[in-house]
Amino acid sequence: MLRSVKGVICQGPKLDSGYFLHASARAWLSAAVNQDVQIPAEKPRTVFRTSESNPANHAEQHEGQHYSIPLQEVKVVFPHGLPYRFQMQMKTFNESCLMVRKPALELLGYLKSTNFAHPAIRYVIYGEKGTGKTMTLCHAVHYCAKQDWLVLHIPDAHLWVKNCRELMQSSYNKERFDQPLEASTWLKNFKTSNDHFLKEIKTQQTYMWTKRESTEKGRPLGEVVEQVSPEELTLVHNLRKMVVNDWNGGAIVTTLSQTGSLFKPRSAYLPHELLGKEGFDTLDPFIPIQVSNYSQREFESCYQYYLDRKWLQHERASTEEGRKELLFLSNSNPWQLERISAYL
Amino acid sequence: MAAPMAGRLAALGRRLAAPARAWLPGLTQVRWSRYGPSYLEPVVNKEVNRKPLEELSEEEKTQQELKALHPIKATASNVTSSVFSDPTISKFTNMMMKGGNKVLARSIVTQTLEGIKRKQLEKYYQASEEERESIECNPYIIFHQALKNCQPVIGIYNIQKGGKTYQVPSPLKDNRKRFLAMKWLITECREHKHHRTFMHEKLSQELLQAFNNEGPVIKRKHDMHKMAEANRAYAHYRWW
Repeated sequence: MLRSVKGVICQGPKLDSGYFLHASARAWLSAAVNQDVQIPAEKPRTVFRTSESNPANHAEQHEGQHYSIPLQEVKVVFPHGLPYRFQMQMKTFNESCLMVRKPALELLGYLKSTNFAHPAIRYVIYGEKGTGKTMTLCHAVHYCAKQDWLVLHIPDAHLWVKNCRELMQSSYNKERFDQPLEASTWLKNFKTSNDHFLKEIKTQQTYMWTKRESTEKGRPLGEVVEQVSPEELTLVHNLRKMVVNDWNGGAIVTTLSQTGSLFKPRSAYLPHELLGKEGFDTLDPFIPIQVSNYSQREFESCYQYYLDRKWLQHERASTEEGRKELLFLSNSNPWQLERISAYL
Repeated sequence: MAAPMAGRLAALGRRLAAPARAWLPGLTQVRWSRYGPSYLEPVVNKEVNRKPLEELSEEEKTQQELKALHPIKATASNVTSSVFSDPTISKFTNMMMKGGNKVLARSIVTQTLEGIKRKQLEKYYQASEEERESIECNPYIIFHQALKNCQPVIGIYNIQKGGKTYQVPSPLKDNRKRFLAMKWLITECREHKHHRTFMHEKLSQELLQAFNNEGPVIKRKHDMHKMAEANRAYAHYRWW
């Protein structure tokens, strides 16, 4: 059961003949690399920021520091996929800053050393609620976009399974159902992020065209079938086909979350608990990457960042007492810290 | 049945133990507390206990000794020793609460503060250097200032004299002013706004308007002042 999985599948760039090479032209991404927001690290207070905005160059020394992504790039690389609260934060601060953390550095290290001849390796990011799994995924997506990979970013598989407004019977396979709304939004976002690849891959991947064909030609049924299980949904079927690692030339990175999952207890966060037997067997073998709460250094960095952006406005928040209280109340959980500092 | 009896017995016991006031026939203490007269009030402020012995003045030393001997009452559950606790915000939350749902009331208030902060920060980051000085981003300062701006200076009391009810102007106590300001804000948001907007949005908009001395709540305060001015002639009907 892939109920609790959000995934991104990154593929190395391919030419028609099946040969792969790294695209030399990175003109569309190299614009606006210089950070006018970053202050060079002369002043001691900017220890929580780094001016290195290319995820490929992030290393151990950048751990705990925030790097900023220019807003133009954000619109192209992340048309969907960033958490809602992070989008609000971007709108308020007028900039988007991600923290470089150990799990992300680990994942980037693996991605850097992928062998494109071997079958795609699956990585599963897991952790307790609010520890930063989606942000780690977004960091990896940014890296892949910078490295000119083809990125299939599905932000939340739960949204495809739950609360579907329209269901159409698939013309390709009579037993399956299509969701035109979700499929069309996802395709629009996919087009935004991978515009330059779409011209090259028209004839290659036929199953993508099948989805498009079915959304255009599908005729709505009179009665919509209420009780439809995930196996019968085309989107989920194709997602499962992509996650099976019988193809080579890229990587599969997935994130497990309990937040949108159905019928799973709140305290479950391990892959075996959230995926169930079927899901675990489908995804097995995979490389697990655990994301945990902030360390001392990361908490300090986040706290300084909020103070710098004037997010912590309470006059006691900048004192030592306030900092200790924030540490205690949030238990160094990034989500909890963000929610608490929102009203302080 | 047993309770008033027990109450009367307790009252009798108290009077026998420490007669504070002269005994008046037929008068029993109605509002009573489980705590005897020797119980002291709790102190939540951490700073008080942190002062070293030398810095304490005489009366503080006697206070400390008293605390060692006397029992202390339990604190109310809405009082914290947090550095971020604010009694005005607690009062406002309690006034917003319906049916004992403090969780909902507290979440509305926190979302309101967040909403105010976001709006002000957006304005701040889009403004130029000179304008940034004048933009206030602290939601707590905005909240307190807005409440202060909404507080009426003079109030109206209904006094019956000779069969007619007169609206008599009179100065208000601090508590009454604070209560009226909060009540007007909440009623304004609940009744005169569109019912499909979220309460925190309505509240944040009202608070920002009140902070700038504009909006319907300020208008209501001015109306109250005008009524008091108009009824000046009846001011001598007040006897307190």
